[in-house]
Amino acid sequence: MALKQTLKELWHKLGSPRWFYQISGPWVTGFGVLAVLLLGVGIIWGLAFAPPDYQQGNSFRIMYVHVPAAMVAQSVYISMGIAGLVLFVWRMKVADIAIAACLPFGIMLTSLALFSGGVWGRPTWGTWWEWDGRTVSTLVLLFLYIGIFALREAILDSQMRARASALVAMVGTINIPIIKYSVEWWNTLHQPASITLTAKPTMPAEMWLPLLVMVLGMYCFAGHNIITRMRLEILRRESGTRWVRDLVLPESTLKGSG
Amino acid sequence: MQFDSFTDFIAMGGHALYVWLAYGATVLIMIGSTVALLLAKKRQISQLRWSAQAHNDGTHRTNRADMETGADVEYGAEKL
Repeated sequence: MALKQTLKELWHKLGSPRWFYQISGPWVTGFGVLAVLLLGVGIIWGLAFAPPDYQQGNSFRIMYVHVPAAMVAQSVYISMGIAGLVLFVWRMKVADIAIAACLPFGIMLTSLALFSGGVWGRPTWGTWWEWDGRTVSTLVLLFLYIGIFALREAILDSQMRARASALVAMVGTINIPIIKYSVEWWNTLHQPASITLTAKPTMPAEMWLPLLVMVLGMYCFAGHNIITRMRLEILRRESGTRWVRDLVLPESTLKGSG
Repeated sequence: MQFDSFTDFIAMGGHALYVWLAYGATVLIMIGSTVALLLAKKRQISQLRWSAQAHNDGTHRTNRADMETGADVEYGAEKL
């Protein structure tokens, strides 16, 4: 019972933007430091130390930026869908702030995945762009991100904006399994997953270890970027409140009364 | 190290254009967006500081105005 009470209180607190702002400061620093370390190591490892592919040669090194970007772009969308559900069921303000923060990041990373994919496709498949299942469903992912972003710009009423974007975010998660299984459902140029949680990788360790480092680094980059955006949005929304004034003018409690 | 020389490394076995485009875009996006965010943060904090100061000055002026018109002598006395 006591545990249930604690969890309930924690859940309640999580909904408060002010509380989120207060606890998330160290997360930003942590994610930032980890992102710089992991991405720094991963990029050098992938570019110079991983062995070249026996068929693709050095163009295969694009994998180390393409796969993490595509993976994180999808994970961020799933998080946004969950935030949409939380907003819809519990009306949590922080969930709307999370959606607002995920959108620009998602647009950026999905574009990067598509761009690096095209640049990899040119020497490997002989084309910059191919209408294959995975490429098209990733393009749909980009349009979903842009669509929800535009939707939010178009709706002036904040409650309506929150609910509409939460709904589209939830419905759009249907696209994620489509991206995942596209390589099995349709004839495609994309190869099936080389690394899964359930089976042994088909790549040697010196090839997939740098990929793992890059994926972790990309997640940390996402954490840093999205939480920073959330904190900025919280400050913006709460700009008239006393705690924000006290935060930006630490001495205002003393001077303000004079 | 998989390359014999720096020139080799830059050439990427003939795939220089593709490899460097992909990595360049990635690094550019990462650094660019982080710098943009930090600048936005700086701008927002100084803006908030300005409006918080205006808010405090606002209350200050109101109190002074009250005192000057002599409308609220007790209020002034209370502050001593």
